[in-house]
Amino acid sequence: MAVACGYGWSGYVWPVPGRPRFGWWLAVCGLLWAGSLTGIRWVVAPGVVCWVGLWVVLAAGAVVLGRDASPAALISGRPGQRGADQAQHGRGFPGRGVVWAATSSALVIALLSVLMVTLNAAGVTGEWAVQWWPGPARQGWAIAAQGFCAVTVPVMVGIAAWRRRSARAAVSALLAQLATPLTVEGMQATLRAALDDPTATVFYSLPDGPGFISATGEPVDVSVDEPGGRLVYDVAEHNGEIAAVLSVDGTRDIDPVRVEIALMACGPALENTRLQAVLSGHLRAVRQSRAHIVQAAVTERRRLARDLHDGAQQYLLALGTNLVRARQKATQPQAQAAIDVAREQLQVALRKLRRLGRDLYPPALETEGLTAALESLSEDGPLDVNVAGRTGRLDPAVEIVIYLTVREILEGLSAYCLATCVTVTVSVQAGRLLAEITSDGQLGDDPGIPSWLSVVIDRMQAVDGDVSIKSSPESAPGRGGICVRAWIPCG
Amino acid sequence: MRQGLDPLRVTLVDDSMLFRRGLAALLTDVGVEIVGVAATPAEAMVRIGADRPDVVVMDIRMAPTFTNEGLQVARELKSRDPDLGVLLLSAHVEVVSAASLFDEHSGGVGYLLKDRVDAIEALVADMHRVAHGELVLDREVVEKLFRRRKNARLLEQFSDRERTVLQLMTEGRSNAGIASEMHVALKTVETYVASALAKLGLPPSPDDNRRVLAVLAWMRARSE
Repeated sequence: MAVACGYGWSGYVWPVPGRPRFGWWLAVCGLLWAGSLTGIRWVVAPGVVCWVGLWVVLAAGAVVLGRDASPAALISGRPGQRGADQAQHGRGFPGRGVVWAATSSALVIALLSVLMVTLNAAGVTGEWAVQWWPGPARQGWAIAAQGFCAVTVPVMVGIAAWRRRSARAAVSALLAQLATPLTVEGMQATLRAALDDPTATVFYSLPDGPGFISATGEPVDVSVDEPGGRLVYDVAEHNGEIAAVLSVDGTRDIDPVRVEIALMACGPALENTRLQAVLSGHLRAVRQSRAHIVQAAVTERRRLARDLHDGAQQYLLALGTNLVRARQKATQPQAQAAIDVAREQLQVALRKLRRLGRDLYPPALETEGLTAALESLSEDGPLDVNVAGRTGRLDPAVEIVIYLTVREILEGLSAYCLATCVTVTVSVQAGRLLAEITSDGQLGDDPGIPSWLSVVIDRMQAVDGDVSIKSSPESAPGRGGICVRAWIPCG
Repeated sequence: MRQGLDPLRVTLVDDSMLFRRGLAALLTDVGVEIVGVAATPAEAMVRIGADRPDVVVMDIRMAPTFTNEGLQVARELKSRDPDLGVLLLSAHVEVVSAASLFDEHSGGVGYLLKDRVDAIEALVADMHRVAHGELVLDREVVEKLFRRRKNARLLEQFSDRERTVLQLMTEGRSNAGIASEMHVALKTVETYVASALAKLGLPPSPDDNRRVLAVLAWMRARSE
């Protein structure tokens, strides 16, 4: 009777999908089984069949439960479909460890039963007498083993339930401490701690179109299942739209209720951090487009310079040869004089055109590189320019941006700071192209950024670079000193 | 190297058909024989091999990269035939390109701005000098080197006359050429040349080319 009661209690908490109260069946089967062991003949056959069948069914049930509850079953292609799956498999799931214990326990009980019945029968007939087998009268240890297996599972279920409850309590406690104002990073860190999953990541849906962005505003693709079994949970807004998704490590034991509690508690804050993420996404887009504008302007300069060289300039040079021929053939002094005027004007036009082309995109930058181009700055400006350092050839887009920047800084230093002598030192340091300009001259009394420099700074910041300016120790007594540093990432 | 007084045989290489035609017509007018024209470096190598000109007049900027292909073609031509004169024309003056041309070859090369076709007699004279193994350097290159402030300050110690002599010397002019340009006597020029070279710390040399190279090397060393 005690055995039957033990089995009955075990069955009450045994994890069987759809039929949680299995105790009565188990108790009746236990009675029959106990009866069959006492030797009451009419009970033996049905008792054994019911008993073994019952455990096989239980083992099969646990296997089915384990399969249905595996993370793979929860992952679906589209974020929107996942809600239903989660609800179906959500509550009462005791964890994969318990399912495995249940399966193996049920199989052990069934096998022991078959063994006992077989050997009992052998002992009765005396044909298969086995020395170590204690005989029908003393089979207490086998029943005890069965009882242990039967009790292990309910105990594990109990432990799992207790751990789950305390974990949920911990989640609530953690989320109650959500810092204000909450940042996207803070939200992610809190959720990771709450779910005890260092890989948990929140992706936010874009308010004005399909697609998701990361906490930093980068577009991400969450509709494709990642390898390595990620589980993706939707976070719905009040109007039913998906505001965000939470991607967790699907290879770990996941308590859907714990996730649900965490997401519910984070709901309002998630809405807030979503706005932050969207904002940084927009900011990123604006930055990119600013950089594109600068790059497009640089490309356009180069194209214009080439067009000038290959188009207008070639026509003017050809015109020059024809004017010389005309001059040689002209006999009338008036015609000769008119042609000479035209030739002089043409020379001026060619010089101006060459100057324009060089302002747009210095040829030395294309053929010789940055240092040579910077050196050529000393040939026509009012400044005494020394160039130090070598960089080797760099991305042409980087070279032209730093060249234009240095050129404008030199013009500003000359015009507004009365500089006469500058040294430009170029170097590549930690993935940055750095131009350090030291000159004589004085900065104004205003401690802020000089207005002539702000355009230059804007352009450099648009390509993730920057410019700084400060007074430096006097380059020579009474001459003042200025140090300008401009840098840009160079890959 | 070219001898005698036969008309100068020239191959023109330029990717602008307009300029090529204009220059060819102009040179023909002044008695230069155009033996071949080409638009690309590859075409130029073939034509020059076949036509055996005295001088190749070539645009420095050609396909495919439109930067300084002319320099490479010049290098190849000179290594194949050191006696061939190569005169590079450029729409811009670039000190570094000019310097690399002069560093590699001790004679028979020239570097001129395309605008110089306006003074056709001077251009033809320069072609003859290149054909005779001399160096020709555009005055703009020299001016640019002078304009670099470091040089300018060093050049302050020279008198105006000495600076003019220095510049003409750097362009590859002989003492007689300098004398006729400055409208002074040969003796006077020799005095200026000697004093200018002495101030630069360079050895006096009767060889025009060696003088050019020495002065250029000195100036570039100062400007770097």
